[in-house]
Amino acid sequence: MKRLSLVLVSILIVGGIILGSQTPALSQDAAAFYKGKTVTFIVPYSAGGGYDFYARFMAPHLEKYTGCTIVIKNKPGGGGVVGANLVYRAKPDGRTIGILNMTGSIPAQIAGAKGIDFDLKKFIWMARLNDEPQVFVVGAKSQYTSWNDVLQSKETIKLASTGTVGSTYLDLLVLKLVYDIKHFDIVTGFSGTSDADLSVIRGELVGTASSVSSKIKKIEAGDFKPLLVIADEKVKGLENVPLIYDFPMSTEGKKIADTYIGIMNVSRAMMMTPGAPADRVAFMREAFKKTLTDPDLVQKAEKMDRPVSWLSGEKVLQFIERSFTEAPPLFVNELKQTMK
Amino acid sequence: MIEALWDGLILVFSWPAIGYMSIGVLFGLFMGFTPGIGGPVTLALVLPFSFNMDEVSAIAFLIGTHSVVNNGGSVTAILFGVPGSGPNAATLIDGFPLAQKGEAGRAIGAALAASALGGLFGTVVLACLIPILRPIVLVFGPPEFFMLAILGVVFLATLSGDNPLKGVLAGLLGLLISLIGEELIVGTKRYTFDIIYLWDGIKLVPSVIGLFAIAEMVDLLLKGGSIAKPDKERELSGPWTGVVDVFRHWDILVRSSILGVVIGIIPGLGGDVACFLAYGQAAQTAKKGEVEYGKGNICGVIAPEAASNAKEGGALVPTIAFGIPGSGSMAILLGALLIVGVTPGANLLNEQLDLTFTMVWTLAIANLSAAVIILMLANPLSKLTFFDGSVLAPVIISVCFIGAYMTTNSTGDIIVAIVLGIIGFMMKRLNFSRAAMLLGLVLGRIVEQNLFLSIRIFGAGFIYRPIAMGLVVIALLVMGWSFLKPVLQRRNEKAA
Repeated sequence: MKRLSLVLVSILIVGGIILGSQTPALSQDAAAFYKGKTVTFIVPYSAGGGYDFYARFMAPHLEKYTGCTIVIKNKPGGGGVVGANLVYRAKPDGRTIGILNMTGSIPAQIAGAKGIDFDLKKFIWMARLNDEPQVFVVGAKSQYTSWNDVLQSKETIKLASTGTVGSTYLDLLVLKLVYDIKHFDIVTGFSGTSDADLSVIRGELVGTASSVSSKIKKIEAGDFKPLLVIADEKVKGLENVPLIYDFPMSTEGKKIADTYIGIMNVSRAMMMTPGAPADRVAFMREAFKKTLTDPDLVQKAEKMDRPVSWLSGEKVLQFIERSFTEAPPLFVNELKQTMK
Repeated sequence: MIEALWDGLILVFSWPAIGYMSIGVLFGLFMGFTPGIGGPVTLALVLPFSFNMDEVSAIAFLIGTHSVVNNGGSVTAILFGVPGSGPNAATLIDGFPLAQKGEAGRAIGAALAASALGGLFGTVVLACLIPILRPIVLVFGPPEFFMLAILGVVFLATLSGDNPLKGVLAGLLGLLISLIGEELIVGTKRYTFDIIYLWDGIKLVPSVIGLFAIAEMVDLLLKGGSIAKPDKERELSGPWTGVVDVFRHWDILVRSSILGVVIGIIPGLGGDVACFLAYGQAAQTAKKGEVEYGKGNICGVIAPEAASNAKEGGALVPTIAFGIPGSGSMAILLGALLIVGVTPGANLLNEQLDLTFTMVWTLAIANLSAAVIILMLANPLSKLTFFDGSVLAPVIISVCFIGAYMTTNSTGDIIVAIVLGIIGFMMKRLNFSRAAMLLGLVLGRIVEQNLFLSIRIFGAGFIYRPIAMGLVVIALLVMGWSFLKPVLQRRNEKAA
């Protein structure tokens, strides 16, 4: 019996080695380095959440393409700050990677929020997981039927939002600044986007905003009317809804819109500790590319309304740098007020 | 309808679904025994395995795994005062004192029977409510959440037996601790002293581990002896006595289940609240001559367990009917259903009704088999409580720290457990209600958040909304009664 299991185990090991070695050798050294080693994947949010899901969803594929074992560690705290700090300060040997919500982190760093020990411009970016175009919606029975109605309204419009560090609040704040809307009243304090959504469905508040993927089902079901898409190109399923640039805005407003859309182009991305050896970086970037362009994975993700759209690590860095240089003072000041 | 009911049952017992369900149940129980790991984490871990299963197997596997995690967690809560996850925290308030009396078997039996029956009750009620579910979900807004939470705060006074003031004080301490961290409304960081760990507030599981498990183990080490004092008479009270207890206290079972279902179908209040509110209402309606709550009253085990499982059944229906997940676990389950090709919505209640009943049957069968497994283990496990404290306590304290650390994988969790362990020990010695403090801790944030939202949305008049007003009346009655009751009792005793 013991012998049998020994044989089985060796078959598994040999099989594993053979399977692993099928990975085309992009860089022999890096491939040899990662084989059989463990790589820590830090998820700066709780187990069972959206980011945790994505990490666990990608892990088996990453293992297949690298030959290493991925260990997922949940390090929640401070809206991602704790985990991101850990990735930043880890040993730069290419064995620590992480995932981050950029829609929250970029504005936080721009505002100089407390607790941040990392510099987003110095991380080695692996890839983009997805971009998240946002959409502004109102309740199905609302008197507002177009974005022009909203802009020209004489009444105060009460909107539902999560806390001030959430992307819902940022969406609404950006719209307010871009079009210089004085009659927006943003009610913060909902625990999550689904609680904010329910408040609008109940008719307590006029509208809300968040990612298209979290709203599309409710729009299709007729609970929401979509009035404006915050993106620079048409979004699948919402082709008839106008985009943010379709309406007149000031020069300052346009700068804010540009910055925000730049940030949203890299909504969720994966990074590695700064200073890791270049061959390992290239090897890992390739593994992420293969994982996120695997048709099977992309199709499964789409089915679950958890979209995946790969973009190279180099491009991610460009977007990040751009958002730091482009952010106009009005936006920076507003963020500093919010994230004090 | 009947046909779908029957077809659903056949599907559960078809191969390989039944095999996957058995694996799921065993794994779920194991994760439940591991402190600090709750339902959502367990589901997240097993989720990838379901991607390549057929839809019936995936449903049987995932729901089977998830529905028993809580059962495993209540066993460690009762035996050692270490809760598996948030919802088990309320169970240990009376479950652990029962173990100290040598009645661990009885408490485990009651917990299992209550959760199985609560789950069943929840499912039946929901099946009847399906046609009018949507209006019910939509009738609860921030004012109603606020008043439900206030009702919980009002229960505080009763949790300290004959001294309501002490209960209120302990509850206020809990409310104060709940204020630590970044609040949701304008993002102000309160009492965080620039420590990032504190931004997210004081978590429930490390707090409970400190307040109860660590405090009790320190107490045990100081006193010497074992958790349970060997007592010839009581050694007979096995798990079946507990099962019988549940049927004797059917009124508490029914009330707690209804509370659980209501909180389950309205997304936004969270699972921990259901258990603590159920515990509060059970303590509120305690009759004269009953064992004091917090000192080992079997009803204190029945109420939260029934509510906890009824709530999960409740959370399932909005998930399948509308695609609005009623809890964290349901959000994960929703994703899994979509991937194996089950689209939540009206068709699950019409054409695919047999699949819906498969879910219901899986819930029932998984719970039943978990109950049988644990009942077989209950007697040998409860013998552990007779071990000498000097052997057992160091082991349990280590387990406590692991359990606390699992919450956010941070040393902060361990520090919270130690600090609250010291507070808990002092409260035990000074006879302050730790249950009241926990209730305050769980409800504090909800009260604040929903009061703020209510005023922002409706103005100060929010309280005049019909359901909110009804809850105000109930709260006033409960409050009046809890201060009047001791006075009346004393007068009666004098008269007699």
